[in-house]
Amino acid sequence: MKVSFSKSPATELRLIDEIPDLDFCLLEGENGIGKTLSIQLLELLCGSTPKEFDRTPALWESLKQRLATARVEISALPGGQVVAATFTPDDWPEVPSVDHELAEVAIDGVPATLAELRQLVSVERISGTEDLESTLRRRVESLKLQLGRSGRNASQGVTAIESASAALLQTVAAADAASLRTEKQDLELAREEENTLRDALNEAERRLRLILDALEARHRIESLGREAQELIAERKKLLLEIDLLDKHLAEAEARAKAADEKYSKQGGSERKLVEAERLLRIRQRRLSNAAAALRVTLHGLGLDQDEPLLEEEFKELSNTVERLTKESQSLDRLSGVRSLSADLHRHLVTASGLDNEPIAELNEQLVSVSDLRAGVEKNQTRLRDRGSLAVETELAQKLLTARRRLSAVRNAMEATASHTRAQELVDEAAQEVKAASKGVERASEAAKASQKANVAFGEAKAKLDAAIAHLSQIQTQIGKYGNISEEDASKVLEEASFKFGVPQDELPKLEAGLRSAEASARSGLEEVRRRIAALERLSSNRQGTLEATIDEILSDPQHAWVLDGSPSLRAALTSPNDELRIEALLAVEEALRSATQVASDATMLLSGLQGIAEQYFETPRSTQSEFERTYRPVFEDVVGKNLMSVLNRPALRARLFGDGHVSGIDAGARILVLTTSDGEDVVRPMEAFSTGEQALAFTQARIADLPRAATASRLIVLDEFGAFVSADRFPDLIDFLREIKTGADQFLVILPLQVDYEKELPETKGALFERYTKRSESIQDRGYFTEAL
Amino acid sequence: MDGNAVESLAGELLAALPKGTSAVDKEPSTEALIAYLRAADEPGFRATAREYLAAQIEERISRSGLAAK
Repeated sequence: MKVSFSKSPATELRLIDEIPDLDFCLLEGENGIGKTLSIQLLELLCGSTPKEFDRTPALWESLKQRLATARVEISALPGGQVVAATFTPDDWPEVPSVDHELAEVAIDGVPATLAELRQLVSVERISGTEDLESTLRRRVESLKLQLGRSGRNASQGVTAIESASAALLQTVAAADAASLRTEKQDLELAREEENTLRDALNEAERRLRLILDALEARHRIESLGREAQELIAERKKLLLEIDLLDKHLAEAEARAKAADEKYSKQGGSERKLVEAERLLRIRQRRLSNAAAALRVTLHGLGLDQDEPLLEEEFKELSNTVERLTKESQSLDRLSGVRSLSADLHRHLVTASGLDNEPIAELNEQLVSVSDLRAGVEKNQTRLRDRGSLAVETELAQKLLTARRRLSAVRNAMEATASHTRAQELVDEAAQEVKAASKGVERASEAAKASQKANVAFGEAKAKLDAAIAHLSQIQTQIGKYGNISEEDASKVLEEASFKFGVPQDELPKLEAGLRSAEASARSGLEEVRRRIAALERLSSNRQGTLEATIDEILSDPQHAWVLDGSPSLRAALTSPNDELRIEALLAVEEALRSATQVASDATMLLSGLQGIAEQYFETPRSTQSEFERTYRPVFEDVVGKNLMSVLNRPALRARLFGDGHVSGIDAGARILVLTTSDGEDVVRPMEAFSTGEQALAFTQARIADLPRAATASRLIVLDEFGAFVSADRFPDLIDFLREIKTGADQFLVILPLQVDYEKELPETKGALFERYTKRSESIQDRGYFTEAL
Repeated sequence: MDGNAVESLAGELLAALPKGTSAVDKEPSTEALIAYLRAADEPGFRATAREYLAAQIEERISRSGLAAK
């Protein structure tokens, strides 16, 4: 970039004319020509308050009074823009402030703001007076600013996190998943306890029952007498008898049942006989009718009932009727021919005019009408001779007679067959009557057997009932003495004595303890069951709340962000596994609370660190809190190591420490620990380095600390530098600048006038003479010169 | 110093501290603190706080093994 400065007529201050567009530029000039002031104006435009104004506030007021409408023009920028700024000191505030619009700005002739200018151009001014302390102060100051900024961010982050998580945290906390989990665990434990107590109660009851049985047995043994023993013996006998009677009764019942079934099967014989007799009577009546009908038919034919010739006559009559029928049919055809012949002859006679005309062809010869008429007439004579009416009448009478006789014979044959069938049916019914009569006789025998079996069953049942009634009486009597025998009671006592491990005499002493144990187990079981019921109610209610909470999270749009950002949470909440859903809600609550806690702790940490940074250079330190005692040494160690890493950069290390490197820094004691190439540690006070060496080292450190340019063009000004850098170190500085330069950077090294060039001219010659001549002329013209480094 | 200087400093400080000497050294972890500082230093953290929280929840659920059940 190229920077041009111009004064207004009212400007009472000196300014340089311009800074040329050179990547590495030397500006050397007399004191008081406005070198530093010109750079300060650039700093103000670019947003930095020159350090001199902080130290000497009167400078600001002086500048405000004397600057007037001085103008700065910046050109040759990477984007080709031309920026012009005309200062307006009349409008400046009373104290230095770069936030104020200090000038009227135009970019390419268009009015703009300082902020827009500062997006194009920036300026860094580095003093050549850097030393260890100033470097440390600057680094700590920088860190303090960053801690402040990060602290504000962290603090605002706490608010942001609390705000973002509030609704969800409130929803999740209301579900109280932790309590539900605890209650479920308690419920599980209580159920296990219930099982244990139930087993314990069962065992206590069993032991108590055992002892009570033993005591009862003992009582029985003591109270049982001879009569009771006899009754018990009789009961045993009776029980055996009842078993036997029971078997007999079962057998009798089976026999009675079989007899009943047999009788039942034969029980319809009398009815069958009545039916058979009724059928026989009907059939006999039908046979009588058939016989009467046959007699009438035969009588009509003039035959006796036993006449055997019916079938032969039927055949003869059938033949006669067939023959007469054929004859009758022949006469019918002859009559038809006669009628046709008469009709034809009548037509042939009326057609006399056609006699010679052929009317038919016969045997391949044509027949005329007259010939046909003659033939017809001739045949009519023959037809008359073949049959007369008397013949036809006689034949018809014969045929009628034969047909009537044939019909009567057929009827007689059918009547004979009906009579024969009726006789067969009568014979069949008679057989059935006979069989039914025999069935009636057999049914009578089965009924007797069934009756006998049922009587036997009744007798057996009566005996069994009597035996059972007797047993009941004996039981009642035995009940007065107890239900077990002396032998059985003794066995019970022996078993109890063995199981409890005490003599039989001492068994009564155990009763109270066992009763107490049983009552205690029962009480404990009831208590845990009440507890389980309460926990189940509590857990059920809370489970309902949990489900409602999960539904809300899954469906309420205000919680959608957490599901979108955590697929695992969505999967867990929609799982059918209760435990998984509870754990997921707990994870959400813990994560939200933890995030708030982390943010709060981080804010506190940064605040504490900022406090340390604030008091870093105070001696003695104002506080000695635990935080201070804990963190300060670490803070100093970190800052020292940070500085050490800068000093050990290759570009600096070789120039300052040769083959060695810095292995330790004690800023307070102003001591460096150098480790030589031989591994030897050498402690060197900072004073052991020359002012020029320190300036070179820490100015380079300062330059190296600069962040990368935030604008497309940045002017880095090394001011007040030359007095601390000997001429033989200058090439090193230039090399260093070339090493670290980025594309946006432009370096300007400002030096006070080193030589009276005009005086030196007579002593020079060649290129040096020419250079000195140019420098001398420029100095005479404007008090300084610029040239590329 | 670059933009991560504070995070680096905080990380180095916490790492250098004797264990149990400070409340911030116990719970939550140093990593969580540093991660938060890094997130809070991002421009517009207020607008992305929910994303940060959702990521914390996702990370916690993943770490707990719940997602694999």
